[in-house]
Amino acid sequence: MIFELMLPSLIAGLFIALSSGSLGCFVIWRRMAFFSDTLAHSAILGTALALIAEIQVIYGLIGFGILVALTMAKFDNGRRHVSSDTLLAIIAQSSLALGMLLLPLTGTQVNIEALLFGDILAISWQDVFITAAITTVIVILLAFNWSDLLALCIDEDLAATEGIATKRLKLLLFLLLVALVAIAVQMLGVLLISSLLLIPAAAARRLSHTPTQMLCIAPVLGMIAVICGLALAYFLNLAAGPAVVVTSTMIWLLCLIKKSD
Amino acid sequence: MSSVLIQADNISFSANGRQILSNVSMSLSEKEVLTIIGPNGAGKTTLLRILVGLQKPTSGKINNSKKLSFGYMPQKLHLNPNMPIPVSSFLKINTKNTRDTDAIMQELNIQHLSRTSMHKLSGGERQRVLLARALLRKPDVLILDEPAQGVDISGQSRLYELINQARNIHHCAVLMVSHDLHIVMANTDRVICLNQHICCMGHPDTVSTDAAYLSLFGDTPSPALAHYTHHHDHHHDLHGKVVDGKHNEGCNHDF
Repeated sequence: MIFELMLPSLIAGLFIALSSGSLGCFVIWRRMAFFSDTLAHSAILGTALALIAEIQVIYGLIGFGILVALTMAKFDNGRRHVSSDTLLAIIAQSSLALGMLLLPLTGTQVNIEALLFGDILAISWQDVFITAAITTVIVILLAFNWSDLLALCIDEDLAATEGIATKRLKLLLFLLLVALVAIAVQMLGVLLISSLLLIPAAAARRLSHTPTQMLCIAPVLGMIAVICGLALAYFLNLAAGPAVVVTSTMIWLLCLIKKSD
Repeated sequence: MSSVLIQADNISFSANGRQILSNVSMSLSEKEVLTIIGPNGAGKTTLLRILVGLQKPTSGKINNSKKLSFGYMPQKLHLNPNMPIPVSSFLKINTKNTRDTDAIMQELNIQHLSRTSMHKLSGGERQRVLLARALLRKPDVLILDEPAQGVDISGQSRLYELINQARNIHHCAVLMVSHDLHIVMANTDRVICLNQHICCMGHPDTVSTDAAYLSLFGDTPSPALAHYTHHHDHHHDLHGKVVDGKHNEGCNHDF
Protein backbone atom coordinates (compact mmCIF):
# COMPACT_ATOMS: atom_id res chain seq x y z
CA MET A 1 0.00 0.00 0.00
CA ILE A 2 1.25 3.43 -0.84
CA PHE A 3 1.24 6.09 1.83
CA GLU A 4 -0.44 8.62 -0.44
CA LEU A 5 -3.41 6.30 -0.81
CA MET A 6 -3.72 6.23 2.97
CA LEU A 7 -3.62 9.99 3.41
CA PRO A 8 -7.29 10.77 2.64
CA SER A 9 -8.46 7.96 4.91
CA LEU A 10 -6.14 9.12 7.70
CA ILE A 11 -7.55 12.64 7.56
CA ALA A 12 -11.14 11.41 7.21
CA GLY A 13 -10.51 9.01 10.10
CA LEU A 14 -9.33 11.81 12.35
CA PHE A 15 -12.48 13.81 11.62
CA ILE A 16 -14.64 10.73 12.24
CA ALA A 17 -12.85 10.13 15.54
CA LEU A 18 -13.53 13.74 16.53
CA SER A 19 -17.25 13.56 15.91
CA SER A 20 -17.78 9.98 17.05
CA GLY A 21 -15.77 10.51 20.24
CA SER A 22 -17.82 13.50 21.32
CA LEU A 23 -21.14 12.07 20.15
CA GLY A 24 -20.20 8.77 21.78
CA CYS A 25 -20.21 10.39 25.23
CA PHE A 26 -23.87 11.31 24.77
CA VAL A 27 -24.64 7.85 23.41
CA ILE A 28 -23.20 6.33 26.58
CA TRP A 29 -24.83 8.85 28.91
CA ARG A 30 -28.25 8.40 27.34
CA ARG A 31 -27.84 4.64 26.98
CA MET A 32 -28.31 4.83 23.24
CA ALA A 33 -25.73 2.20 22.28
CA PHE A 34 -28.37 -0.13 20.91
CA PHE A 35 -29.97 2.71 19.04
CA SER A 36 -26.76 3.73 17.28
CA ASP A 37 -26.10 0.11 16.37
CA THR A 38 -29.54 -0.12 14.79
CA LEU A 39 -28.89 3.04 12.84
CA ALA A 40 -25.60 1.61 11.58
CA HIS A 41 -27.16 -1.67 10.49
CA SER A 42 -29.90 0.13 8.63
CA ALA A 43 -27.21 1.85 6.55
CA ILE A 44 -27.05 -1.30 4.38
CA LEU A 45 -30.64 -0.78 3.35
CA GLY A 46 -29.96 2.92 2.91
CA THR A 47 -27.08 2.10 0.57
CA ALA A 48 -29.16 -0.36 -1.43
CA LEU A 49 -32.01 2.11 -1.78
CA ALA A 50 -29.62 4.84 -2.91
CA LEU A 51 -28.14 2.56 -5.57
CA ILE A 52 -31.61 1.57 -6.80
CA ALA A 53 -32.71 5.19 -6.95
CA GLU A 54 -29.39 6.03 -8.61
CA ILE A 55 -28.55 8.83 -6.22
CA GLN A 56 -25.34 9.48 -4.26
CA VAL A 57 -24.97 6.84 -1.53
CA ILE A 58 -24.55 9.48 1.17
CA TYR A 59 -27.96 10.97 0.36
CA GLY A 60 -29.50 7.50 0.65
CA LEU A 61 -27.78 6.97 3.98
CA ILE A 62 -28.91 10.29 5.39
CA GLY A 63 -32.44 10.03 3.97
CA PHE A 64 -33.08 6.52 5.19
CA GLY A 65 -31.30 7.21 8.48
CA ILE A 66 -33.60 10.15 9.16
CA LEU A 67 -36.58 7.88 8.53
CA VAL A 68 -35.27 5.33 11.06
CA ALA A 69 -34.44 8.09 13.56
CA LEU A 70 -37.93 9.59 13.34
CA THR A 71 -39.46 6.15 13.83
CA MET A 72 -37.34 5.60 16.93
CA ALA A 73 -38.15 9.08 18.26
CA LYS A 74 -41.83 8.21 17.99
CA PHE A 75 -41.38 5.10 20.10
CA ASP A 76 -39.19 6.81 22.67
CA ASN A 77 -41.63 7.28 25.51
CA GLY A 78 -39.65 9.81 27.47
CA ARG A 79 -39.52 8.51 31.01
CA ARG A 80 -37.43 5.47 30.17
CA HIS A 81 -34.49 6.43 28.00
CA VAL A 82 -34.41 3.41 25.81
CA SER A 83 -36.94 2.47 23.24
CA SER A 84 -37.85 -1.17 23.28
CA ASP A 85 -34.72 -3.16 22.56
CA THR A 86 -36.77 -5.78 20.77
CA LEU A 87 -38.07 -3.19 18.34
CA LEU A 88 -34.55 -1.88 17.76
CA ALA A 89 -33.26 -5.38 17.08
CA ILE A 90 -36.07 -6.06 14.63
CA ILE A 91 -35.32 -2.86 12.71
CA ALA A 92 -31.58 -3.56 12.74
CA GLN A 93 -31.75 -7.16 11.61
CA SER A 94 -34.50 -6.77 9.05
CA SER A 95 -32.98 -3.73 7.38
CA LEU A 96 -29.65 -5.55 7.22
CA ALA A 97 -31.34 -8.59 5.66
CA LEU A 98 -33.51 -6.58 3.31
CA GLY A 99 -30.50 -4.53 2.23
CA MET A 100 -28.58 -7.71 1.42
CA LEU A 101 -31.51 -8.98 -0.66
CA LEU A 102 -31.83 -5.72 -2.57
CA LEU A 103 -28.11 -5.16 -3.28
CA PRO A 104 -27.87 -7.71 -6.13
CA LEU A 105 -30.86 -6.03 -7.78
CA THR A 106 -29.14 -2.66 -7.98
CA GLY A 107 -27.16 -3.63 -11.05
CA THR A 108 -24.02 -2.17 -9.48
CA GLN A 109 -21.16 -4.36 -8.41
CA VAL A 110 -21.07 -3.90 -4.63
CA ASN A 111 -18.27 -5.04 -2.38
CA ILE A 112 -20.24 -6.56 0.51
CA GLU A 113 -17.18 -6.94 2.70
CA ALA A 114 -16.38 -3.25 2.31
CA LEU A 115 -19.91 -2.39 3.27
CA LEU A 116 -19.74 -4.52 6.42
CA PHE A 117 -16.20 -3.78 7.59
CA GLY A 118 -15.17 -0.66 5.72
CA ASP A 119 -12.75 0.04 2.90
CA ILE A 120 -10.35 2.90 3.43
CA LEU A 121 -8.91 2.78 -0.04
CA ALA A 122 -12.28 3.83 -1.40
CA ILE A 123 -12.09 7.13 0.49
CA SER A 124 -11.54 9.97 -1.92
CA TRP A 125 -10.57 13.59 -1.29
CA GLN A 126 -14.17 14.51 -1.97
CA ASP A 127 -15.21 12.16 0.87
CA VAL A 128 -12.68 13.88 3.11
CA PHE A 129 -14.29 17.25 2.45
CA ILE A 130 -17.78 15.91 3.14
CA THR A 131 -16.52 14.24 6.33
CA ALA A 132 -14.86 17.46 7.45
CA ALA A 133 -17.96 19.51 6.73
CA ILE A 134 -20.33 17.15 8.56
CA THR A 135 -17.94 16.83 11.50
CA THR A 136 -17.81 20.60 11.78
CA VAL A 137 -21.59 20.75 11.87
CA ILE A 138 -21.78 17.98 14.51
CA VAL A 139 -19.18 19.60 16.76
CA ILE A 140 -20.71 23.07 16.44
CA LEU A 141 -24.21 21.80 17.24
CA LEU A 142 -22.93 19.81 20.22
CA ALA A 143 -20.99 22.80 21.53
CA PHE A 144 -23.91 25.14 21.00
CA ASN A 145 -26.34 22.88 22.92
CA TRP A 146 -23.78 21.57 25.39
CA SER A 147 -25.34 22.59 28.69
CA ASP A 148 -28.88 21.70 27.61
CA LEU A 149 -27.71 18.32 26.33
CA LEU A 150 -25.87 17.71 29.57
CA ALA A 151 -28.99 18.53 31.58
CA LEU A 152 -30.95 16.13 29.37
CA CYS A 153 -28.43 13.34 29.97
CA ILE A 154 -28.49 13.86 33.74
CA ASP A 155 -32.24 13.74 34.15
CA GLU A 156 -34.87 14.30 31.52
CA ASP A 157 -37.62 15.37 33.94
CA LEU A 158 -35.39 17.83 35.70
CA ALA A 159 -34.33 19.28 32.36
CA ALA A 160 -37.94 19.59 31.20
CA THR A 161 -39.04 21.47 34.33
CA GLU A 162 -36.12 23.82 33.85
CA GLY A 163 -37.60 24.84 30.54
CA ILE A 164 -35.34 22.83 28.25
CA ALA A 165 -36.94 21.58 25.03
CA THR A 166 -36.08 17.93 25.65
CA LYS A 167 -37.95 16.55 22.65
CA ARG A 168 -36.07 18.78 20.26
CA LEU A 169 -32.74 17.87 21.86
CA LYS A 170 -33.40 14.14 21.68
CA LEU A 171 -34.23 14.47 18.01
CA LEU A 172 -31.05 16.49 17.52
CA LEU A 173 -28.96 13.68 19.01
CA PHE A 174 -30.70 11.14 16.77
CA LEU A 175 -30.06 13.22 13.65
CA LEU A 176 -26.41 13.85 14.54
CA LEU A 177 -25.99 10.08 14.85
CA VAL A 178 -27.52 9.67 11.40
CA ALA A 179 -24.97 12.13 10.02
CA LEU A 180 -22.12 10.32 11.76
CA VAL A 181 -23.17 6.94 10.40
CA ALA A 182 -23.30 8.44 6.92
CA ILE A 183 -19.70 9.64 7.07
CA ALA A 184 -18.25 6.69 9.00
CA VAL A 185 -19.72 3.81 7.01
CA GLN A 186 -17.03 3.94 4.32
CA MET A 187 -14.18 3.72 6.76
CA LEU A 188 -15.58 1.28 9.33
CA GLY A 189 -18.46 -0.50 7.66
CA VAL A 190 -21.89 -0.92 9.21
CA LEU A 191 -20.74 -3.53 11.71
CA LEU A 192 -17.91 -1.52 13.24
CA ILE A 193 -19.26 2.03 13.43
CA SER A 194 -20.63 1.65 16.96
CA SER A 195 -17.22 0.66 18.27
CA LEU A 196 -15.67 4.04 17.49
CA LEU A 197 -18.64 5.69 19.18
CA LEU A 198 -18.57 3.63 22.34
CA ILE A 199 -15.04 2.45 23.01
CA PRO A 200 -13.19 5.81 23.12
CA ALA A 201 -15.99 7.31 25.24
CA ALA A 202 -15.96 4.34 27.61
CA ALA A 203 -12.19 4.62 27.92
CA ALA A 204 -12.43 8.37 28.51
CA ARG A 205 -14.85 7.73 31.37
CA ARG A 206 -12.02 6.13 33.33
CA LEU A 207 -9.80 9.17 32.91
CA SER A 208 -12.23 11.97 33.67
CA HIS A 209 -13.86 13.58 36.69
CA THR A 210 -16.26 15.92 34.93
CA PRO A 211 -18.49 15.57 31.87
CA THR A 212 -16.47 18.24 30.04
CA GLN A 213 -13.24 16.32 30.58
CA MET A 214 -14.83 13.16 29.24
CA LEU A 215 -16.11 15.00 26.19
CA CYS A 216 -12.62 16.32 25.45
CA ILE A 217 -10.70 13.12 26.15
CA ALA A 218 -12.88 10.73 24.12
CA PRO A 219 -12.13 12.29 20.69
CA VAL A 220 -8.41 12.37 21.50
CA LEU A 221 -8.43 8.65 22.35
CA GLY A 222 -10.39 8.00 19.16
CA MET A 223 -7.79 9.89 17.12
CA ILE A 224 -4.96 7.94 18.72
CA ALA A 225 -6.81 4.74 17.80
CA VAL A 226 -7.20 5.91 14.20
CA ILE A 227 -3.54 6.88 13.84
CA CYS A 228 -2.18 3.71 15.46
CA GLY A 229 -4.74 1.48 13.76
CA LEU A 230 -3.99 2.83 10.30
CA ALA A 231 -0.25 2.58 11.00
CA LEU A 232 -0.69 -1.07 11.95
CA ALA A 233 -2.76 -1.65 8.82
CA TYR A 234 -0.11 0.08 6.71
CA PHE A 235 2.94 -1.71 8.07
CA LEU A 236 1.42 -5.14 8.69
CA ASN A 237 -0.93 -5.04 5.71
CA LEU A 238 -4.08 -5.53 7.82
CA ALA A 239 -7.68 -4.54 7.22
CA ALA A 240 -7.84 -0.91 8.30
CA GLY A 241 -11.29 -0.70 9.94
CA PRO A 242 -10.81 -3.73 12.19
CA ALA A 243 -7.27 -2.56 13.01
CA VAL A 244 -8.61 0.79 14.24
CA VAL A 245 -11.28 -0.90 16.34
CA VAL A 246 -8.86 -3.37 17.93
CA THR A 247 -6.50 -0.51 18.71
CA SER A 248 -9.25 1.42 20.46
CA THR A 249 -10.09 -1.70 22.46
CA MET A 250 -6.43 -1.88 23.53
CA ILE A 251 -6.63 1.74 24.67
CA TRP A 252 -9.78 0.93 26.63
CA LEU A 253 -8.07 -2.04 28.28
CA LEU A 254 -5.16 0.21 29.24
CA CYS A 255 -7.59 2.68 30.77
CA LEU A 256 -9.18 -0.10 32.81
CA ILE A 257 -5.95 -0.32 34.77
CA LYS A 258 -6.69 3.07 36.23
CA LYS A 259 -8.94 2.81 39.24
CA SER A 260 -12.27 4.40 38.50
CA ASP A 261 -13.37 7.22 40.77
CA MET B 1 -54.20 35.37 52.52
CA SER B 2 -51.71 36.04 49.73
CA SER B 3 -52.56 35.52 46.11
CA VAL B 4 -53.08 32.17 44.43
CA LEU B 5 -50.21 30.89 42.27
CA ILE B 6 -51.63 27.62 40.96
CA GLN B 7 -55.29 26.84 40.56
CA ALA B 8 -56.09 23.32 39.37
CA ASP B 9 -59.69 22.48 38.50
CA ASN B 10 -61.10 18.98 38.14
CA ILE B 11 -57.87 17.31 37.09
CA SER B 12 -58.33 13.74 35.92
CA PHE B 13 -55.69 11.45 34.56
CA SER B 14 -55.86 7.94 33.26
CA ALA B 15 -53.23 5.83 31.54
CA ASN B 16 -53.57 2.41 29.96
CA GLY B 17 -57.19 2.21 31.01
CA ARG B 18 -56.35 2.82 34.65
CA GLN B 19 -57.77 5.84 36.42
CA ILE B 20 -54.99 7.49 38.37
CA LEU B 21 -56.55 10.82 39.32
CA SER B 22 -60.18 11.80 39.27
CA ASN B 23 -61.53 15.32 39.64
CA VAL B 24 -58.77 16.75 41.76
CA SER B 25 -59.19 20.46 42.45
CA MET B 26 -56.67 22.33 44.50
CA SER B 27 -54.83 25.59 44.76
CA LEU B 28 -51.48 26.80 45.99
CA SER B 29 -50.92 30.29 47.33
CA GLU B 30 -47.80 32.38 47.58
CA LYS B 31 -45.40 31.23 50.31
CA GLU B 32 -47.73 28.43 51.30
CA VAL B 33 -46.43 25.00 52.29
CA LEU B 34 -48.75 22.32 51.00
CA THR B 35 -48.15 18.64 51.59
CA ILE B 36 -49.82 15.90 49.62
CA ILE B 37 -50.02 12.62 51.47
CA GLY B 38 -51.53 9.32 50.44
CA PRO B 39 -50.80 5.62 50.08
CA ASN B 40 -48.67 4.14 47.29
CA GLY B 41 -50.33 4.42 43.93
CA ALA B 42 -52.57 7.25 45.09
CA GLY B 43 -51.39 9.40 42.18
CA LYS B 44 -49.28 11.81 44.24
CA THR B 45 -46.33 11.85 41.85
CA THR B 46 -48.65 12.02 38.85
CA LEU B 47 -50.37 15.07 40.32
CA LEU B 48 -47.01 16.79 40.84
CA ARG B 49 -45.91 15.96 37.32
CA ILE B 50 -49.12 17.42 35.95
CA LEU B 51 -48.77 20.58 38.02
CA VAL B 52 -45.21 21.22 36.78
CA GLY B 53 -46.25 20.48 33.21
CA LEU B 54 -44.35 17.22 32.71
CA GLN B 55 -47.61 15.46 31.91
CA LYS B 56 -50.87 16.60 30.40
CA PRO B 57 -54.05 15.81 32.36
CA THR B 58 -56.68 13.73 30.56
CA SER B 59 -59.20 16.35 31.52
CA GLY B 60 -59.32 19.41 33.72
CA LYS B 61 -57.57 22.75 33.68
CA ILE B 62 -54.61 24.34 35.40
CA ASN B 63 -54.40 28.09 35.70
CA ASN B 64 -51.18 29.65 36.86
CA SER B 65 -51.28 33.25 38.00
CA LYS B 66 -48.23 34.01 35.82
CA LYS B 67 -45.49 32.10 34.08
CA LEU B 68 -44.17 30.31 37.14
CA SER B 69 -40.65 29.07 37.57
CA PHE B 70 -40.52 25.69 39.25
CA GLY B 71 -37.75 24.24 41.35
CA TYR B 72 -38.38 20.55 40.94
CA MET B 73 -36.86 17.85 43.09
CA PRO B 74 -37.71 14.51 41.51
CA GLN B 75 -38.35 11.38 43.52
CA LYS B 76 -35.34 9.71 42.02
CA LEU B 77 -32.48 10.99 39.94
CA HIS B 78 -31.65 8.51 37.19
CA LEU B 79 -27.93 9.20 37.17
CA ASN B 80 -25.94 7.16 34.71
CA PRO B 81 -22.80 5.72 36.36
CA ASN B 82 -21.00 6.29 33.08
CA MET B 83 -21.18 10.02 33.53
CA PRO B 84 -18.46 11.44 35.75
CA ILE B 85 -20.09 14.30 37.58
CA PRO B 86 -19.02 16.13 40.71
CA VAL B 87 -21.55 18.08 42.74
CA SER B 88 -20.19 21.43 41.54
CA SER B 89 -20.76 20.53 37.86
CA PHE B 90 -24.19 19.22 38.64
CA LEU B 91 -25.15 22.51 40.25
CA LYS B 92 -23.58 24.72 37.60
CA ILE B 93 -25.51 23.30 34.65
CA ASN B 94 -27.90 25.95 33.44
CA THR B 95 -26.85 28.33 36.16
CA LYS B 96 -25.03 31.37 34.94
CA ASN B 97 -24.30 32.92 38.28
CA THR B 98 -21.60 31.08 40.22
CA ARG B 99 -22.04 33.44 43.18
CA ASP B 100 -25.56 32.05 43.60
CA THR B 101 -24.21 28.52 43.52
CA ASP B 102 -21.70 29.28 46.27
CA ALA B 103 -24.30 31.03 48.41
CA ILE B 104 -26.80 28.21 48.14
CA MET B 105 -24.19 25.55 48.80
CA GLN B 106 -23.34 27.42 51.95
CA GLU B 107 -26.98 27.81 52.91
CA LEU B 108 -27.56 24.06 52.62
CA ASN B 109 -24.21 23.19 54.13
CA ILE B 110 -22.84 21.27 51.15
CA GLN B 111 -19.74 23.35 50.26
CA HIS B 112 -17.50 20.53 51.39
CA LEU B 113 -19.13 18.22 48.82
CA SER B 114 -18.26 20.46 45.87
CA ARG B 115 -15.71 18.08 44.36
CA THR B 116 -17.39 14.86 45.45
CA SER B 117 -18.85 12.65 42.75
CA MET B 118 -22.64 12.66 42.62
CA HIS B 119 -22.48 8.88 42.63
CA LYS B 120 -20.87 8.81 46.06
CA LEU B 121 -23.32 10.94 48.01
CA SER B 122 -25.31 9.55 50.90
CA GLY B 123 -29.10 9.73 50.78
CA GLY B 124 -29.26 12.92 52.83
CA GLU B 125 -26.43 14.61 50.95
CA ARG B 126 -28.00 13.79 47.62
CA GLN B 127 -31.35 15.27 48.68
CA ARG B 128 -29.65 18.47 49.83
CA VAL B 129 -27.80 18.75 46.51
CA LEU B 130 -31.07 18.25 44.64
CA LEU B 131 -32.67 20.91 46.82
CA ALA B 132 -29.81 23.26 46.00
CA ARG B 133 -30.31 22.65 42.28
CA ALA B 134 -34.03 23.36 42.65
CA LEU B 135 -33.36 26.59 44.58
CA LEU B 136 -30.88 27.81 41.97
CA ARG B 137 -33.80 28.21 39.58
CA LYS B 138 -35.02 31.04 41.84
CA PRO B 139 -38.34 29.26 41.90
CA ASP B 140 -41.77 30.68 42.62
CA VAL B 141 -42.76 27.19 43.63
CA LEU B 142 -40.56 24.51 45.08
CA ILE B 143 -41.91 21.11 44.08
CA LEU B 144 -40.54 18.25 46.16
CA ASP B 145 -41.38 14.64 45.43
CA GLU B 146 -40.78 12.68 48.63
CA PRO B 147 -37.78 14.75 49.69
CA ALA B 148 -37.18 12.68 52.81
CA GLN B 149 -36.80 9.31 51.17
CA GLY B 150 -33.52 7.55 51.82
CA VAL B 151 -32.80 9.94 54.66
CA ASP B 152 -32.63 8.71 58.23
CA ILE B 153 -35.13 10.05 60.71
CA SER B 154 -32.95 12.71 62.34
CA GLY B 155 -31.71 13.78 58.91
CA GLN B 156 -35.32 14.12 57.84
CA SER B 157 -36.16 16.69 60.45
CA ARG B 158 -33.00 18.64 59.54
CA LEU B 159 -33.96 18.46 55.86
CA TYR B 160 -37.44 19.78 56.63
CA GLU B 161 -35.88 22.58 58.64
CA LEU B 162 -33.74 23.46 55.62
CA ILE B 163 -36.77 23.42 53.33
CA ASN B 164 -38.61 25.68 55.73
CA GLN B 165 -35.63 27.99 55.99
CA ALA B 166 -35.29 28.04 52.18
CA ARG B 167 -38.91 29.06 51.88
CA ASN B 168 -38.33 31.98 54.21
CA ILE B 169 -35.14 33.09 52.47
CA HIS B 170 -36.30 32.65 48.89
CA HIS B 171 -39.96 33.52 49.41
CA CYS B 172 -41.29 30.59 47.46
CA ALA B 173 -44.29 28.36 47.91
CA VAL B 174 -43.60 24.71 48.67
CA LEU B 175 -45.58 21.81 47.32
CA MET B 176 -44.39 18.44 48.48
CA VAL B 177 -45.39 14.84 48.43
CA SER B 178 -44.84 12.57 51.35
CA HIS B 179 -46.14 9.39 52.83
CA ASP B 180 -44.74 10.24 56.22
CA LEU B 181 -47.42 12.30 57.92
CA HIS B 182 -45.94 13.03 61.31
CA ILE B 183 -42.70 14.74 60.41
CA VAL B 184 -44.09 16.69 57.49
CA MET B 185 -46.94 18.06 59.51
CA ALA B 186 -44.66 20.17 61.68
CA ASN B 187 -43.85 22.70 58.95
CA THR B 188 -46.78 22.51 56.64
CA ASP B 189 -49.65 24.97 56.34
CA ARG B 190 -52.09 22.69 54.65
CA VAL B 191 -52.33 18.98 53.91
CA ILE B 192 -54.13 17.26 51.09
CA CYS B 193 -54.87 13.60 51.60
CA LEU B 194 -54.99 12.03 48.17
CA ASN B 195 -56.11 8.62 47.05
CA GLN B 196 -56.96 9.11 43.36
CA HIS B 197 -59.39 11.74 44.57
CA ILE B 198 -58.95 14.23 47.38
CA CYS B 199 -60.05 12.45 50.58
CA CYS B 200 -59.72 15.47 52.78
CA MET B 201 -57.89 18.73 52.93
CA GLY B 202 -57.04 21.14 55.67
CA HIS B 203 -54.71 22.21 58.42
CA PRO B 204 -52.54 19.43 59.84
CA ASP B 205 -54.39 19.28 63.14
CA THR B 206 -57.72 18.79 61.49
CA VAL B 207 -56.57 16.23 58.94
CA SER B 208 -55.20 13.73 61.40
CA THR B 209 -58.56 13.47 63.12
CA ASP B 210 -60.61 13.46 59.92
CA ALA B 211 -62.52 10.23 59.45
CA ALA B 212 -61.38 9.85 55.83
CA TYR B 213 -57.75 10.04 56.90
CA LEU B 214 -58.21 7.62 59.76
CA SER B 215 -59.77 5.04 57.49
CA LEU B 216 -56.73 5.25 55.20
CA PHE B 217 -53.91 5.19 57.69
CA GLY B 218 -55.68 3.92 60.76
CA ASP B 219 -55.56 5.49 64.17
CA THR B 220 -51.76 6.00 64.49
CA PRO B 221 -49.45 3.19 64.35
CA SER B 222 -51.19 0.47 62.45
CA PRO B 223 -50.83 -2.99 64.00
CA ALA B 224 -48.04 -3.93 61.59
CA LEU B 225 -45.95 -0.95 62.59
CA ALA B 226 -44.66 0.22 65.90
CA HIS B 227 -42.79 3.21 67.15
CA TYR B 228 -39.22 2.58 68.10
CA THR B 229 -38.15 5.04 70.72
CA HIS B 230 -34.46 5.92 70.59
CA HIS B 231 -32.68 6.68 73.78
CA HIS B 232 -29.94 8.86 72.36
CA ASP B 233 -27.82 10.95 74.62
CA HIS B 234 -26.44 12.86 71.65
CA HIS B 235 -27.50 14.07 68.26
CA HIS B 236 -25.89 14.28 64.83
CA ASP B 237 -24.97 17.31 62.79
CA LEU B 238 -25.44 17.54 59.04
CA HIS B 239 -22.29 15.58 58.29
CA GLY B 240 -23.41 12.68 60.46
CA LYS B 241 -20.91 13.57 63.17
CA VAL B 242 -21.97 13.06 66.75
CA VAL B 243 -22.39 16.34 68.54
CA ASP B 244 -22.84 16.94 72.24
CA GLY B 245 -25.51 19.16 73.57
CA LYS B 246 -29.20 19.67 73.41
CA HIS B 247 -31.52 17.82 71.11
CA ASN B 248 -32.86 19.24 67.91
CA GLU B 249 -36.29 20.76 67.91
CA GLY B 250 -37.37 17.90 65.72
CA CYS B 251 -36.83 15.35 68.49
CA ASN B 252 -39.82 14.49 70.54
CA HIS B 253 -38.72 11.48 72.50
CA ASP B 254 -38.61 11.32 76.28
CA PHE B 255 -35.02 12.13 77.06
